[in-house]
Amino acid sequence: MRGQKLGAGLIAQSQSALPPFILHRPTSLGEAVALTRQHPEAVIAAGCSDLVAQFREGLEPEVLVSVQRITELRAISNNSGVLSIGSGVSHAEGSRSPEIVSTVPALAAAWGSIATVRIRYRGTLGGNLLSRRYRYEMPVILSALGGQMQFHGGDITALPVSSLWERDSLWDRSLGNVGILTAVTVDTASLLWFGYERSMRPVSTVSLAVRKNPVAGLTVSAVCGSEYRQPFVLSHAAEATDITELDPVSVGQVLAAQLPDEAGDYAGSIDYRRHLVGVLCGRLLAEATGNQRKG
Amino acid sequence: MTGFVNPRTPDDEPIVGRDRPRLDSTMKVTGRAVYTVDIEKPGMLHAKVLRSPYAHARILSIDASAARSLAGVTAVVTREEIIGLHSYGTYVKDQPIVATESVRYVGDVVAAVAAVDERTAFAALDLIRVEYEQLPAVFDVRAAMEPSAPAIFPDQPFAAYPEYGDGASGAAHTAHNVSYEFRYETGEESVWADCDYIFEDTFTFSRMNHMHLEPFATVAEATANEIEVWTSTQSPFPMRKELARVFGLPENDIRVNVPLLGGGFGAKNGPKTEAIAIRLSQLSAGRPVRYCMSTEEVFLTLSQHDAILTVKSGLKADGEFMARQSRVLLNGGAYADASPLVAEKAGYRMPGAYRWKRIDSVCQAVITNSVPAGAYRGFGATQATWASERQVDLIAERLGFDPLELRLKNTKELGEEFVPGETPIDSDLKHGLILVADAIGYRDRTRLSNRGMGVAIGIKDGGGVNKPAQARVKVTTNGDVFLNCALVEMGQGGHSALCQIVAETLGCDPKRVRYAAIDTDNTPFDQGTNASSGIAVMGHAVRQAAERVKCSVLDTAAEHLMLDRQSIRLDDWTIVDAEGTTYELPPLIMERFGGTGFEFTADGYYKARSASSAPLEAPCIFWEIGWAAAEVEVDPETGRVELLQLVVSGDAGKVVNKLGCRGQDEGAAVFGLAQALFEELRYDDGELLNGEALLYRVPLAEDIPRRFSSITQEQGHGAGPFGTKGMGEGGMLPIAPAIAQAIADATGAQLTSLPMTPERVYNGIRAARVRHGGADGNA
Amino acid sequence: MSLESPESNEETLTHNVEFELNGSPERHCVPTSATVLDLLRNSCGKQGVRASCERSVCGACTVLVDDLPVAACSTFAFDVDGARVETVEGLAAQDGTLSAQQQAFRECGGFQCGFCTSGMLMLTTALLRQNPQPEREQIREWVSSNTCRCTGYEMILESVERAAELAGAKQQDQVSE
Ligand SMILES: Cc1cc2nc3c(=O)[nH]c(=O)nc-3n(C[C@H](O)[C@H](O)[C@H](O)COP(=O)(O)OP(=O)(O)OC[C@H]3O[C@@H](n4cnc5c(N)ncnc54)[C@H](O)[C@@H]3O)c2cc1C
Ligand code: FES
Ligand code: FES
Repeated sequence: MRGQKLGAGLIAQSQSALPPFILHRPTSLGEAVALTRQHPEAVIAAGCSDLVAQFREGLEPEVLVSVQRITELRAISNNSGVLSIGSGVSHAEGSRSPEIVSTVPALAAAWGSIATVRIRYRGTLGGNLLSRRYRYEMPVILSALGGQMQFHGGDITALPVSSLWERDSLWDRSLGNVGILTAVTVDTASLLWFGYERSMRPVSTVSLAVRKNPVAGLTVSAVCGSEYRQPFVLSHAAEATDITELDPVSVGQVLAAQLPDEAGDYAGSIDYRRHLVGVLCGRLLAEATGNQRKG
Repeated sequence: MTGFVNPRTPDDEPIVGRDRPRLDSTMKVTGRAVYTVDIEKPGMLHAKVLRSPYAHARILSIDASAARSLAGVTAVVTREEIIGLHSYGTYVKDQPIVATESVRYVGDVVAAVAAVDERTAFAALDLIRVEYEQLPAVFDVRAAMEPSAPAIFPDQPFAAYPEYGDGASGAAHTAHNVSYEFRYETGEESVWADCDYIFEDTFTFSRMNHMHLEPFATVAEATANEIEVWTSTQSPFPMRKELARVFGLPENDIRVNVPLLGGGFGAKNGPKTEAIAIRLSQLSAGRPVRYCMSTEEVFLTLSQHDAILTVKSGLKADGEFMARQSRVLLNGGAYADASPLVAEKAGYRMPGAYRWKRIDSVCQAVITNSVPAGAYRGFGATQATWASERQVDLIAERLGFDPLELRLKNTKELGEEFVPGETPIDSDLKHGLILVADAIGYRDRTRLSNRGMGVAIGIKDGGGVNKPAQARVKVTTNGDVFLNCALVEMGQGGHSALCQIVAETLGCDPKRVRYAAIDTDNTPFDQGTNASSGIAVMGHAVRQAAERVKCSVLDTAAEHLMLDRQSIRLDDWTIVDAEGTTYELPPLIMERFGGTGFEFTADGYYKARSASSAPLEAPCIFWEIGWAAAEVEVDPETGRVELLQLVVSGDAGKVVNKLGCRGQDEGAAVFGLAQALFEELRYDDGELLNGEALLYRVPLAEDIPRRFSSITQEQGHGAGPFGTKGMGEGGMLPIAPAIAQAIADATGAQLTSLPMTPERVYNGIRAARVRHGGADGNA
Repeated sequence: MSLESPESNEETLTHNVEFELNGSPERHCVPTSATVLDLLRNSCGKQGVRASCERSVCGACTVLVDDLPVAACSTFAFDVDGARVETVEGLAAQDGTLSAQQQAFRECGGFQCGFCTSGMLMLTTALLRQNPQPEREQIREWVSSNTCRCTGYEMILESVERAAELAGAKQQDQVSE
């Protein structure tokens, strides 16, 4: 549904009644960037599985730039401790990519568990992140991993995935023209462990990464996702030098206690959610302490 | 319990086509099936509507002049264009075609536009100016009944309701914001004094959307004097009657055509898209207008009733049930729709499967500023069964009985009356309980921690109240058969089953029987496809029509062939005499009726007797029973429930089509499963949070337990043809209570609200630990 | 910029889509905003492609694009340019003989109202192409892509299993012939 233009009510817009738009289907990133500079208002389309919902909510593009033909956006690489995943990679491709499976297998597994088989062929990393929907999971998964979004052609070049929901940021689209999201990069050099827990979706999901600090100690970063609230980043710095030294239960509780009261919603009160996130973090850490491989 | 007649036993032979695919299978697997959404007419216009952004507001002004003058727009309907037309509703006629003085919920239709294409229609809607004055809104049933709550209908709309029989009564507008109230009472109040224990519990029931995949859709061609619609409705004749009332036309100037339905589940009763499409067509010089809602609009059109149910039950120390009182508040939403009927059933079905000496039920349908609630699979029985069965389990725990034993002790016998004047119970209820219990291994299980099992039973009067049905069977010279009746095919397999009944009677292959397209000019009358009445009620009319055709064929043949009428029979459109000699009918007919041949035609009719001693005008046709058993595993730390096993069972009386029966029970069970665990319309202070396909979670294949099965019983006591009973709703009733008891059995958590979310389960477990005095909660 | 997309015309806001539909070539000039659903139902007359949620969720509109299941309602027509598209109408043989999937859904009652059936059949087709002998778990995962409100799914899962069996038997026949 969308609002009526004079504020007189609700209208059930459908994409098949969308006015035609000027369509561009660039085959290279360079062309695409030129197009977005020429048409800052252009809407970027990847798998379109969320875009149609946006059309139903009232988005009416005049210019549409489909990035589906840009092969550069489908690249995945792993160079000197940095995993780079192109924004056009579909969930199906990403979860089966040899580079990802070999560097952060749990990321591949998590990615391959979201949505449905049909959507996984169609939905892309970029679309999942830039749909800016709380319930989508790649922001939760990748922000625990400290993922960085790489942009091209707009006013910014790189932003952490977690900035998606920071105020005055991408979430409310006040950042101006972001151009095209080209890739997400993840530093894998200091990563000790990663895991994602979605069995309680949509009440709460938790992704959790453990990293070695540059000088000493470990950092545990957890991100809690839910249905009606933004993801929340929780973190804990431990003096431990080895994962096995972490106490899963108490670290889980320390992390969960950081959830602010706003994290409570229709699907779970804040008390329950804190408890649940504590349990889920604890379980992931228990796995981590027994299994120190990356992912 | 003496002197009851044990109802009929079934014919021994299986019905022809019983084990075969349904007759509509080929068209459905090839994509050739035609639904209302597929109907296209030359010059067809498209309708779109503007809906209220406010839950409650007065409309101060509407200015649609800019919309009207937009090129490509043929008509705009606002309150100005419906002056003189009537409002609609099942008993309470409170819903106007578009909002008049006020809007009563977010989504209430304010204006509608017809245009050459959808894009133009949307553009026109964007030009309409509406000034609203917001009014206080109320969403909660209890709050709505407070005298201080805003009156959602300051002037009481016209209402007409049935004369009830012994013990029952109903009335409209009995309290503030109450559209309808039903009461039922039997037995002496003094029974309470004989009870050793009395327990009172309150339960809440959630609200779901029907989510039929095919949305509400209508194509209308209408002038001031004549109306024709192609529409997705379960009830063509009541639709015709309602449209005649709304538009002030004689019924023979209105024709309702009903293609296949892509699901209904109760939603497709009463006007939805029809009146808007018709009015727009009338104002567009009679050009056809198509109004097809989007799924988002379907969410804003009709829902199930959420409810608060308070049940008080009294019993003897040995567990014998004595007296039950219930007070049920149904959230009817902004317009009454079928609320009065649902209230009637939710109140009446409160005794459940059990024997009571005293029953006292009151059910009120409350008006709130939310989406109207109407008929929904289970129809009041789902709400009643949730409270009724749940309380049995609460009582069993309190008094230390095994829940299954307590049920078996109090369950009615086959042939025992439900309440005085009502049809005797026509299934062996205990047999079914034991059947499903044993199917999951309830009685001889080894207890494992955090695992539990539950068994439940649901019962509803089936076949509709006072429901007449008519059918016509025609056979061409060559033996090709038409069945003409108004049972709407919405997935339940009714067309196939009725064609099989004709085939069985005429001794022909079911493939030779064609179910004729439904239009109210030519199709014999029927009261609507609801209450699981297809086989048990319409089946009789169909069988009678087929029998009559057979008789006239045999009469004609006997006379023509000069054979003894009693010695011949009809088989595959040939006459077989006593010696086994066969006579082909086509040449015989040509000879007898001349070169153009002939069609044998006969009508059938059926209506159950009415009786003033029956509480609801007439005794029900049959009892639709659902039995279920469930096993769960609960994670006590998170409250997450995993359904390990689910067995559902219904009693078909006699199976007409095996796949059809199975599908009805399993489909219904999955509605129940979803209601039990996650599916609900979520309202946060009146705002619908999930009125959209991605956010509204319906069950997927992954939600079905790995051990999920159904058992179709053929107990043979049904009042339908060949001993059949109706199916389709019973399977939904016992699911949520069975799962709830399994959770209680696993963890001690006794839940009283649906859905049983992880948080509720988790809190329930903690409460149980406190109740049981500390540490042993989930032991 | 115009050199890479000669097929779309900025002034007319239309687009020429050339694709293969159930084995035959098709060429249509549609508005740039047309979806595959519009293209198939309105321009190509494939009414067996159903529309329900129109939001990529229910899968009633599932068709195959280059062997993969795709929601026609949420895919733009321009995206199937040059692709192979298959709909339920393409399943049965020319003489009307039903495909293994169709036979299986008939036999096992994998449908009721039939509104999800075209999509479920296409999903099954894609699955069996990837894995002719899927296990129950994989079938469950695939079928979970689409919604059926009527059947309760068990009979659909059985239908898919049966389809694999029937298709396997057919293959065997062909090999032995
Ligand atoms: C039925 C269903 C179930 C789903 N379930 C889940 C689930 O369980 N978990 C989950 O995480 N997600 C889920 N999703 C979301 C899905 O995974 C997709 O990622 C998502 O729909 C968007 O992907 P897309 O490529 O189709 O994006 P599009 O619809 O093409 O685009 C979405 C948004 O991103 C922008 N965008 C896309 N690419 C770029 C780019 N390169 N640069 C700049 N902007 C860009 C677009 O402008 C648009 O605003 C589900 C979706 C559906 C329909
Ligand atoms: S109609 Fe396309 S996915 Fe529902
Ligand atoms: S058969 Fe009706 S939705 Fe699947």
